[in-house]
Amino acid sequence: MKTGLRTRVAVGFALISIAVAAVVSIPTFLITQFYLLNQRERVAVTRAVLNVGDFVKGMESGKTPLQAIERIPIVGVSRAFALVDGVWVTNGGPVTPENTPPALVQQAPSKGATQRFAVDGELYLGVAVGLRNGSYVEVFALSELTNSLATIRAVLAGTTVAAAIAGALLGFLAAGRLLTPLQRIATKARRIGGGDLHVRFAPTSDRDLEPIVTAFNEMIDAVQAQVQRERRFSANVSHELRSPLTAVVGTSELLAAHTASLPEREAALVRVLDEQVGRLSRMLLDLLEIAKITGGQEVVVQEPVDLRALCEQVLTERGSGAAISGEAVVMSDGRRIERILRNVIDNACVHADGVSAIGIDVRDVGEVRDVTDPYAGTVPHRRIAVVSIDDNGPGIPEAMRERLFEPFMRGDAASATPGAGLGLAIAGEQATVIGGRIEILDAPTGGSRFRITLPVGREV
Amino acid sequence: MTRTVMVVEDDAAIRLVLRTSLQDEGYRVLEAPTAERGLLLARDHDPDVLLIDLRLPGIQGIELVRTLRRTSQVPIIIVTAQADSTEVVLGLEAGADDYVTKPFVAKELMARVGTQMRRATPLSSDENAFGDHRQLSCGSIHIDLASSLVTRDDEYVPVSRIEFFVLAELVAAKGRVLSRDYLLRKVWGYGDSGDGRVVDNLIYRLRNKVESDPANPTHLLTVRGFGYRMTDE
Repeated sequence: MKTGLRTRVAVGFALISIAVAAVVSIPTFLITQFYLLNQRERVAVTRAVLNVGDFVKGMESGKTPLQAIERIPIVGVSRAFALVDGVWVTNGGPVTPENTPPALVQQAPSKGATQRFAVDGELYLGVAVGLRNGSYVEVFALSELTNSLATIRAVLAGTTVAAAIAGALLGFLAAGRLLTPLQRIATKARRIGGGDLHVRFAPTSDRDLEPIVTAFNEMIDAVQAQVQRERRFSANVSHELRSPLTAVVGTSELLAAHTASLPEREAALVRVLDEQVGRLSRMLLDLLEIAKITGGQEVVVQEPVDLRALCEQVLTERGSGAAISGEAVVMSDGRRIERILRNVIDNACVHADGVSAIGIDVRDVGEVRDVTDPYAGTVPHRRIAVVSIDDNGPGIPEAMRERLFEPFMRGDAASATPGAGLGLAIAGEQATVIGGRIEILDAPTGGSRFRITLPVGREV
Repeated sequence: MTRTVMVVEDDAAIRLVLRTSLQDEGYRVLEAPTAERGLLLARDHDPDVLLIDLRLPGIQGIELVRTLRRTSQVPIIIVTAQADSTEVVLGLEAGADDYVTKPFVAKELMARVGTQMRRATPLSSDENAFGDHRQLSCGSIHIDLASSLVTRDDEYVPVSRIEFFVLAELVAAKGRVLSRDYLLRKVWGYGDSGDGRVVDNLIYRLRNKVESDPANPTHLLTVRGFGYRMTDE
């Protein structure tokens, strides 16, 4: 999956913040560094020129070069040394003529030259002044200056990082705010997906959101109009088909009731006609039922439904003596549950040698998953009733199971048996309408188990 | 004596099927293609059972049921294209006693007509459904089984034939709960597949006739999820 919009906006804001901070920080640092070094250099040169005067005066007054150099005051870590008539004298310190850049010493002009160099990782500033018979060099440690510059660098880097974080946060929040209306649209779109076509957005005065809101509302208007057209069509088809169907079914029934008075040839034809008309009628009614359910124009009743009594009733009608264990009463639509049970039990009778047993069970789902973990999520507590209808058939291969609930889908061995393959499709659709579902499992006794799950609903 | 069934149906083919089926059962058949014609025929010939299609040109079937009910307690079966539609409930509320859906199976429709025909027959010639009782009563409600009259506080209460039998069953079983399935079997003659809404709507109609405050019944009580109970407490 691609990185989310919020993350991308946050990263973008962070990068912009870093760029802005860098544009401000880097020149600031360079200018500060240049200015501080320059100032330090000027101070050093001034001091060195003063000190070289003292050194020369000392030698003129008869002191040895060493005595003269030792009189140069040591300030901080500055050190002085001189090459007089080819002999080095120094007032101590870590910097010696050996590790001083030779170029500085050799080319020292009379008015002084400067050079920065490092000894053992420490930065020094050397000032060399040419003498009549040699050179004078004074070395100043720049550690204080480098420390200051390091601090400034750290502060600027910190500021940059802080700016990046602030930018990322700002980006995240801004993106979140931008996404809020989108999330509202998503919520409503989900409701529409769930079949509620009355969802609309209130008109907004926000100039940026207005086109989206309008487009969204227009879209649902269009969808609703389309759905209504289809519903009207489906209702008209249903109604218009029923009248001729009634006449045809009735006529063929009447004819079939009087085959005795017909010649054998005609009687046989009438029997075939009646049989096929009956088949056509049942199939049409099943199809109309599926069309109606999937059209979502169903009124769902809430009433107490005794599942055991209903199972008993359907089994009795089908002449089955299968045992029923357990019982449950659910708040649901009795006619629909009856339809589901009847179709599943019929399916077992026609394709699987009858029902072997029915088990009814009530259980809780969605309780706390792990009581030892205080952060484990809990889902709303829900009671479900489970009706397991086992049959005597050979079982159904796993790959077939899901597809058996599609209209006109029949098992491999079913082509010789009656029915159009709509019974389970209707059962499945009806289960969905009342918030339940049907699954096919293996029955412990070897056949298939049709497991019907229904919400128990409000406690009765 | 030949019993008469009147068919109000605009589709000629269906009328023919109905006429043939009903004649095969030995009924005299009156046919009306419109509600207006049906109304006139019903007044002139006083049929024993009415079969009314709810979708009719001109005056709708429900309106016809309502109009007939103002003056007549004749058993009415409505014919509807859709069992799940509100049409059924509206028809039952208007005063119909039972319904069938298109396409109907003739045998089943004849069973429905047969039941209504039996209910239309005075009780004296019927099987004695209520033992030796000649009269039943519950509080201020009195039922005279021989004359099929219902009175409340000595005032005549007009009830349809099916309403009369439902009330009689409940009063005879005073205090006990009768399930909807039981009533469907006993009064309407259904097997196992009757529609409970038929009972519910009939009880609703009865309450409007025998309860002083139909919205808060004191005699004809609902036992939720199961059925109904009559009490005189």
